[in-house]
Amino acid sequence: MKPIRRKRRMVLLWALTVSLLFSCTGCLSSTPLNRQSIVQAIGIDYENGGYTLSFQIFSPSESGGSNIGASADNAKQITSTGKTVSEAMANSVLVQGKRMFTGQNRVIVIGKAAAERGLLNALDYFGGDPATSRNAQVLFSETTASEILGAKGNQGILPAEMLEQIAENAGQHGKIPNVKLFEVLKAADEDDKGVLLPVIAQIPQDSESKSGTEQIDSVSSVHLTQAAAFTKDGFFCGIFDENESRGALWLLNDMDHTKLTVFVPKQYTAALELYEVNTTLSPILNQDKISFHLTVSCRASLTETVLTGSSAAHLTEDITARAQALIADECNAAWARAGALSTDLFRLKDHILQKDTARYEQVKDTFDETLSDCLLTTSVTVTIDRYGKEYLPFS
Amino acid sequence: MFESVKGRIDALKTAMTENKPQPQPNEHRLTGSLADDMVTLRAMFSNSSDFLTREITITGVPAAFLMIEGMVNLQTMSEMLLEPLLSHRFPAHAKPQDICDYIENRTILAADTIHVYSCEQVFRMIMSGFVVLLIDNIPYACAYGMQGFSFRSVGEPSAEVNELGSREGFTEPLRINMSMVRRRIKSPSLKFDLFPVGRVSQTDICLIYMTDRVSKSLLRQLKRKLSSISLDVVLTSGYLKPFLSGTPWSLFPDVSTTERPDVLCAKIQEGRVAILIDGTPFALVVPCLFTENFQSLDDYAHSAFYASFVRIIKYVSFFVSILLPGIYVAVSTFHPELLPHALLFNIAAAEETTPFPIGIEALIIHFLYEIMREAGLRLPRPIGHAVSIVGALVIGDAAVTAGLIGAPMVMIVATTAIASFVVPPLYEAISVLRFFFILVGMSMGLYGIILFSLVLFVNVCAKTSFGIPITAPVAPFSLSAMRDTFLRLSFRTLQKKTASIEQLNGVATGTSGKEDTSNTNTDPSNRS
Amino acid sequence: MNANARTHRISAPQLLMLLFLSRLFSVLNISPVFGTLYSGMTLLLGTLLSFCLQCAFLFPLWLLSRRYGGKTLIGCAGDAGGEWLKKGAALLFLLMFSVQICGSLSAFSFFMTSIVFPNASSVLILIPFFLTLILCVRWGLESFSRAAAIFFWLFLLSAASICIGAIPSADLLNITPLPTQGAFHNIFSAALGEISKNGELYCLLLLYPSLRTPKKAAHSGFWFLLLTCVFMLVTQTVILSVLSDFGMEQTYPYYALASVVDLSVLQRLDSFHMSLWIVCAFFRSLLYLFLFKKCLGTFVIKKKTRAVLFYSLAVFLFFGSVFLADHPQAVRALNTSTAIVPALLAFVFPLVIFILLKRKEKRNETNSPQKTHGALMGADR
Repeated sequence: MKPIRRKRRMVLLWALTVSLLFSCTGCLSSTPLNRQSIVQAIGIDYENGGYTLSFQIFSPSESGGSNIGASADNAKQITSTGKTVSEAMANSVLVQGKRMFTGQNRVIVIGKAAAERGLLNALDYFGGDPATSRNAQVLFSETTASEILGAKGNQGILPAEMLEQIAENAGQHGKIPNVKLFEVLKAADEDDKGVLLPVIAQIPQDSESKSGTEQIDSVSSVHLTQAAAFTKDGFFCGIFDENESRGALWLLNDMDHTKLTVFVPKQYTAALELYEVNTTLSPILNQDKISFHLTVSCRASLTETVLTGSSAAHLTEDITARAQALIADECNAAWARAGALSTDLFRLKDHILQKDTARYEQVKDTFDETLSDCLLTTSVTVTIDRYGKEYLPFS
Repeated sequence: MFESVKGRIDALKTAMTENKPQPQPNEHRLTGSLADDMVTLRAMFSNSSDFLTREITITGVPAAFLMIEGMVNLQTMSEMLLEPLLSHRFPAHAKPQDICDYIENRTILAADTIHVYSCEQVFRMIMSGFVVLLIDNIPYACAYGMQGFSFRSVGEPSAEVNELGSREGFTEPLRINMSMVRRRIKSPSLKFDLFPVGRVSQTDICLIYMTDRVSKSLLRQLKRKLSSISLDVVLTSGYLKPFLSGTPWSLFPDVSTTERPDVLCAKIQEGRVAILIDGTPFALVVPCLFTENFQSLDDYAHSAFYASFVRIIKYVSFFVSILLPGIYVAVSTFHPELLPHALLFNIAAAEETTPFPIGIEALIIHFLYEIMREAGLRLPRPIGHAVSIVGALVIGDAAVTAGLIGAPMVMIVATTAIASFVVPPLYEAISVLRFFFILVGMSMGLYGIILFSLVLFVNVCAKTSFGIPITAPVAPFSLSAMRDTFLRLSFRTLQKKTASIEQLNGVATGTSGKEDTSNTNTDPSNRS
Repeated sequence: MNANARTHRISAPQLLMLLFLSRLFSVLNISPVFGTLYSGMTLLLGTLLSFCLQCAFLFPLWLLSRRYGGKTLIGCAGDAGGEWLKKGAALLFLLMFSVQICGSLSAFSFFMTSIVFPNASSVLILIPFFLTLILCVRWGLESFSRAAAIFFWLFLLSAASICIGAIPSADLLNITPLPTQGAFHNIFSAALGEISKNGELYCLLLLYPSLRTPKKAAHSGFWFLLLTCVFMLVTQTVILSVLSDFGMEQTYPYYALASVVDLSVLQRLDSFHMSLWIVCAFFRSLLYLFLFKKCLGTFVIKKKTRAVLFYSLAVFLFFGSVFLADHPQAVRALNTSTAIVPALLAFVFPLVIFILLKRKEKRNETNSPQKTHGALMGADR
C-alpha cells in the first residue's frame, strides 16, 4: 500500500475511533436499567387544583437473581403531583430518585375528576412523549385512578398485567370497547366525534358484584362492564351501562365474537356463542332527514340449551329470533343513549362524509345536537350453524 | 510383451528428456569430473553431518551416491540401485556412458528419475529426499526418487470434521497430497505446477488447477504475487496468505484454507486455483467468496432439505455470534422498550445489584471467555480439562452468585460462544467484531450498531478476491450460483450448468472468458 | 482493454435498489414540520399523478442514454457547449447535491434528536454518521450499490411486516374522500410536492454511464418510479386507514404508524423502524456525497488536490447540516413545494443538451460527411 494512502486511512480510522470515544462520554442519553423505574400503569387524577399521577412500577421482591416473586410483591406505587401532567412527570423523579421509564407502560387509568377536565389535558403529554407506548390501554375510573392501581391482583408478574388482560379479554368478548391511547388521541384530534372508554371499577369487598363475578381475593378485585362517553371536545358526559356498551360495540363494528344468553321464563335458557360478526352502518340521506340503517350478520354456535318448561316448538328458530331481537335492543339502547348525550360516538359523520361530502359539509356543525332526531333501523341476522357436542337440549 | 514395456520406457524417457530442468545462468554446472564436483558439493553442504556420500567403482569407473541421512529409503536404494549395479557384469572396459545407459534402460527404478545439470539442482534434489548418482566423466547427475523420510500418516483432518464424508486429510509431504488430489480427479486437464518459494527454505509449493476451467488472468495474477514473495522461510500456509490477500487488514478472508482433499477438488473444478505447500497439511484456495465460509462437505452428503436447514442455521449463527452481545447491550441500555416485558423484568431484576453497567459486564465476560479459550487451546490436554471446569464454575456460577454479573449475560455469552463455533473459518472475524459491536452498542445504542453494520457491509461489498467480489453470488446476483448458497438444492438441479467463479465478477463474459467491452466507460469524471 | 473501464459498473437492478432506498428517505421523512402535508384521497391521487408526471421526466434520460451512453450529462454538456457549459453544469449539480446532503443530514439529525435520543446534540449524532459516509464513499459506487441490493430485501421485509401488523387496525372509513372544492388543485399541489422531493431523477443523469448497459437506464428509472409509487400508495393507505388524518399531523407519520403496530413478541416496532430510517438516510447521503465528489472531479483533475478539496468541502457540508438541524424553519424554506428544480435538472436541461448535441452532429455531418455521430462517442473509447 502506498504510504500516502496508508496515512490517509490511519487518519480516518483515528477520527472514527475518537468520535466513538467521544460518544462514550455520555452525551447520548442512556440510563442503566437499575436506575430506571419501569412503569407498568399510570393513573391520572385531578385533585386540589393540580394533577396527581400514580405509577405502578416494577420493584422486584428478589433482586440479583433470576427468580421473580408473585405479582403483588413486585409492584410499588408512587404518586407525584404537579399543575400539569408534564410537571407531575418531572416531579416523579424527585419522589423516588429513579428515572421513569414509560416505554413498557400498559395501562392508563383516568379518574373522573381528571376526565371532567378533558381527555386531551390528561393524555396529551403521553401522546407526544416518544418513549411512551401508544398501545397502552386507556381506562376510566368513576372514582380515582390511584384506587384502581392499588387494587390487589396476583395474576402475572405485576397487577398492571392483570388490568391489561382483563380489559383486553372484555373487549375481545364483546363486553366493552377496547381502546388504546392512540385511538383516544386520534378521536380527540379529529374534533368531530366522541369516544367511549371502558369503565374500570373495584369489586365491593363484602358482596357479590352485579355481573356475577365472585370476589376471590387471589385472582382479581376489579371488573369492567360499562363504558364512559366523552364528547367531541374530550369531556366526560355520561356512562353507558352493560347493555348500552354492547350496543355501542355493534354500532362501532368492534364486535369480533361474543356470548349471548336467551332467557325465556318457564321455557328455556339458551346460550349462543356469536362469531364471524359483520356490522355495516349505512346512512340514509333524505332531503330533510338523516337516518341510519344497521345491518348485523353473524354466525352462532348453540353452546347450551336448558329446557325449563315444555319444549318450545321450533326451538332453534325461536332462539334465533329472540337473539336477533336482543341484539337489536342493545343497538337501540346505545343509539338512544348517544342521542340523549348529544354526542356522535359511532362515527356517524364519517359515514355521511364517505357517502356525500357536500351533505357532510352542511351538517357537520349541528349534527350532534340533532342526533336524537336521527332514526336507526336495524336488520339483524343470526345463523345458528354449530351445536357443540350436544345437539338435543337438556331438560 | 517386452516390446510394449520397452516402448513405454522409451516414452517415459522422451517425456523426461523434454521436461528436464534447465540450469539457471548463475548456477554451477556439473563439470563431469567427479572429484571436482564432490568438492563443490561438500562445500555447498558445509560438510554437514547428515550429508552422506558413498563412493564406488564400477569396472574402474568412479561413481558416487549422494543423499541426506534419514531422508532416503535405504532398502529401496539397495534393491533397486546398488544391487543391480554391483551385481551386473559390465564389459571389461566399460565406459561411463555404458554404465549410465545400463542404469537408465535396463533396470527398474523409481518413476521420477531426473537428470540434473548443476550443483544447485543436485542440492535441491538431495534436500527433497532424492538419491543422486554422479559418474565420472558424465556431465550430468541422475536423481532417483527414493524418499524414505518419516511423516505423519494420512488421518482424519482435525480442523474440518464432518459426519459422512471422507476421513482423509492432507499431510505434510507435498507429493502425497498431490497424489490424493490426482486420485480424486482423473481428468487430463488437471495440472500441477511446482516451484519453490522462500530464499532460504526453498519450500516447494504446488499450484493445482483445471486448465479448461481456470481463468488465465487469475493464474497470471497469482503467479505474479507468488513470485514477488521475498521471505526467507515459508513454513506454513499462513506465511503466504497475506501476499495473496488483496487487503491485509481485512477482517474477512479472501483466501480460503482447507485440510481436505475432497473440498479442494470441489473448489478447483469450479475454476479456482489451489496451492499446496510442502510441510503443512493446509492448502490455500483462491479466489474465496464470503458464502463459501458457510459451505461444508457434509452439506452434500445429507439430503437437500436437511443441508439447507443446516446452512440457514449457519447464517443465523454467524449473525447471532457477532450481533447478539452488541444488540443486547444496546437494547438494554438505550431501548428497553423493545424487550418483551417478562424478559425486561428478569434482566432488570438481575441487574439490580450488579456493580457494572451492562456494556462493561459484556466486555469483561467476553474478554474472560477469550482468555479461557486461548488457555484451553495452549495447555496440555490433562490440564486443559481442569481449565474448562474452572472457567465454567468461575463464569457460570460464582460470578452470578456473587452478583458481579447478571445471569442473562452468562446466557448471552454462552450462546454467542457456541454460535461462533458453527462457522469456524470466520472465527477470527467474529471474535473481533463482537467486541466492536459491544462498544458501539454501549456508546450509541441501536444507532451505532446499525451504522457499524452498514460500514461493515459496504466494506465487505467493496472487497474482491482476485477480481471477484466476495459477496458474489448475492451481489452481483447470479441465479444459477444461488442454487447452492443459502439453500442447497438437490443434485438434480445442481447438475445443471452453473456460473464458474470467473463469471461471478459481475461483468458479462462469454465462454472464451473475454470481458464484454461494448460499453466501455472512459469518462474520467465517472471515476470516484 | 482499459482495466478501469470494468470498474465502477453496476447492474440495472442494483441501481434501482440504490435509488429506491435513497428515495425512501424523503418518503419516510415526510413531516408537517418541513412542508405542507395532504391527507386522505388527495394524497393518494397526488401520488399517482406525480408518478405519471415523473415518468415523463425520464424522456431526456432515455434519449441521452441510448445515444450517448458512455458519458454523463456533464460530459455531454461539455461536448455540446464546450468547457464552460460543462463546468457550469457541474457547478449546478454540485450546488444541488450540497443542498441535498445538508438537507438530508439535518432532517436525519432532527429525527434522531426528536424521537430516538430526545434533545441530544446534533453534532454528536452527525459526527459518526458523517465519518462513516466519508469512509464508505471511498470504496466506490459498486460497493455501496451491492450493499444497497442486500439491504433492499431486508427493508422490504421489515416494511411488509409493519404493514401486515397494522392491517388489523385498519378501517377504510378513516380515509377522507376528496373535498368538494379545490380537489384538483390540492391533488396537483400534492403531486408537485412529491416531485420536488425526488432528487434521484437527476442523479440518474449522472449515474447511467456506470451501468453495464446504459441503454437500460430509462428502464431502471421507470421501475424505480413504479416501485416507489407502489410503496408510497401501500404505506399511505395503511397510515390513513389506521391513523386517518391524525397520522398525517404527526411529526413523522410513518414513524407514528410503526409505533402503534405490535407483532406478538416485537411489541414496539418503532425502534425497528428507526433502523430502516438510518439505512435509508445512509444510502441517500452516500449517493449524494458520491455524486458530489464526482462533480468535483470536473473542476480538479489531480487526485491529491481533489481529495484535499473534497475533504475541506465535506467539513463545510457537515457544519451546514448541523446548522440546518437546529433550524428546521430553514429546512422548510429549502424544501420547495414546487417541482421547479427537478423539472429543470431532470427534464429541461438534459433535453436542451440533447438538442444541442444533435444540432452539433448535424452540423458536423454537413461539414464533413465521413464523420458520423459515433465520433462524438467513439473519441473517448
